[in-house]
Amino acid sequence: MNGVKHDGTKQNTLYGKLWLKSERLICVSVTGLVLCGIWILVGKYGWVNPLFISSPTGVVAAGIGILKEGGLGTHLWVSTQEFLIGMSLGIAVGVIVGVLLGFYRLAGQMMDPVIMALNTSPRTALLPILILWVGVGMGSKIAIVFLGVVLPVIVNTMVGIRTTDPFLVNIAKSFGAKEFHLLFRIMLPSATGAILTGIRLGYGRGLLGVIVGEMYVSTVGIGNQIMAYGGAFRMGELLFLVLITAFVGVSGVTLIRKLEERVEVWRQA
Amino acid sequence: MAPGLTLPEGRNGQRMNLSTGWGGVFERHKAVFLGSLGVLLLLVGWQLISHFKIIHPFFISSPAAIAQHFKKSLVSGVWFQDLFISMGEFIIGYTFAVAVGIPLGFLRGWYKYAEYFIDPYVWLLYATPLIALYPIFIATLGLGSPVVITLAFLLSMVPIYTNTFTGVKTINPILIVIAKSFGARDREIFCKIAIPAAIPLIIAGLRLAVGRALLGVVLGELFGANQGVGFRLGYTAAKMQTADYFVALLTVVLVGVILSQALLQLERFFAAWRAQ
Repeated sequence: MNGVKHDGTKQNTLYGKLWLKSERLICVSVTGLVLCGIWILVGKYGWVNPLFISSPTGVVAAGIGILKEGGLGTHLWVSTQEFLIGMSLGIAVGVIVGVLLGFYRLAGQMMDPVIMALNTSPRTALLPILILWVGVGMGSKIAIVFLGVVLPVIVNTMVGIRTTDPFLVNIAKSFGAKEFHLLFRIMLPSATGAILTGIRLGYGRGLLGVIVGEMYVSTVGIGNQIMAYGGAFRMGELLFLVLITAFVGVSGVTLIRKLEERVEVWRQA
Repeated sequence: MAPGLTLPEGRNGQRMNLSTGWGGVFERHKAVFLGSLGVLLLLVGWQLISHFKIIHPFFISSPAAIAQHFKKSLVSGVWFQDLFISMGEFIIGYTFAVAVGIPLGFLRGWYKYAEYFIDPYVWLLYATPLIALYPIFIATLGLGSPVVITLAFLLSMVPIYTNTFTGVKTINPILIVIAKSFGARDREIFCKIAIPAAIPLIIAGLRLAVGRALLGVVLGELFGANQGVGFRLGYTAAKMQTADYFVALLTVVLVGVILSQALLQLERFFAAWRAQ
């Protein structure tokens, strides 16, 4: 750390320093307080029945209640399992298929429209038939996570492999590199960033997949709990679970993005 | 820039001009030919698997049966009815998203503090599994279209917002400096530089938002509606009418592909226009 820079601006005064350090935090809290205020007022003056929208204090109280009661652990564990299994399968299959389709251009071009169509249309539309195919248990949720993850990973891996610097490929070829070496020494490392981007996109979709899948039909899991609380109009508990999911989503995406930046630095070095 | 130095985007330049005859036609439309071949092979494979009962047609139906059921729902008018409702909801939700997302994006790109004030909450909105809130939407707005429209709006607003502010942020600073040194006022810079320069990225955002809005419509109808294509998906699958389910599914897929391809063309057009 270099300490404080002295360039003759606001940073020289104590208050200036404090402001610069915390202005973001202050602004964020101001909006947060305003939003919470609106939320409380809307409930208090009966514009919307507070039964339907709970209140900030209601959410906190509900959160404490749920944690005290325990029992959230089983649901969390099931959802985590479904998410992790679907995600790992999706990444593994996605990278392999993406590499093949990127490496063998003909096959890639043949599959392009099908993959693009599946990638642009909402995969949750497949949920009803997945229940028919795989059943109402964990299988259908793993399948929906898998589908959410596998497509962006395939597309990004494919693009990453195809856009490898042709200069590098040519050099390797002229030094007699075999296809195998070309793939593992040059194309895969240069596609790492793109693959991570695919995983990041898939992470969000997979998380949504678990929740939606469990909400659609299930007997256990966070989505199942959300559905149960929603049906009982216990909105405080529902919002608490939704916020937890949002937090898991934001932190996971941030983590993968950090990883991407690392890889980008390493690639350019 | 002298004409002739830049080749039109998306073409192979000289190679295209050299090859003539049928080989040339193939070379030019290679992607289309190969893509159609892929789709065709998939359909034939599906039909065969179903025909020889490698997987029972009860589960996967078959292209022929799907075509038949599609014709039936066309004749009875159910297909148009579903599509009409879903597209109506899609258009209203999407329009709201455009009307809110673009101004919010400009605000965020133009004023530094707007980022601090609104950005974290937009990301929270993005990360929240909004469908989980549908009981709240039903209770406050009513079952059916209002829920679907709200979901489509909230889901598709974020990509429009992000792309708009990225478009504003990535304006060539030299343009602004020049405009300022010629005495342009803020309003003029905004209208004559910021808006035109941001348009290509905004359109890219609109394309991304199509997928999200469609997701909102399908999810909303799956959970909180009693008509529309999304409802049809859940309804037919629950009754195990796989052929009818695939009719609805292919409708969703086709709408998504057509809309995003149309916006992709628009995006290319404006990208070329920006480069000029």
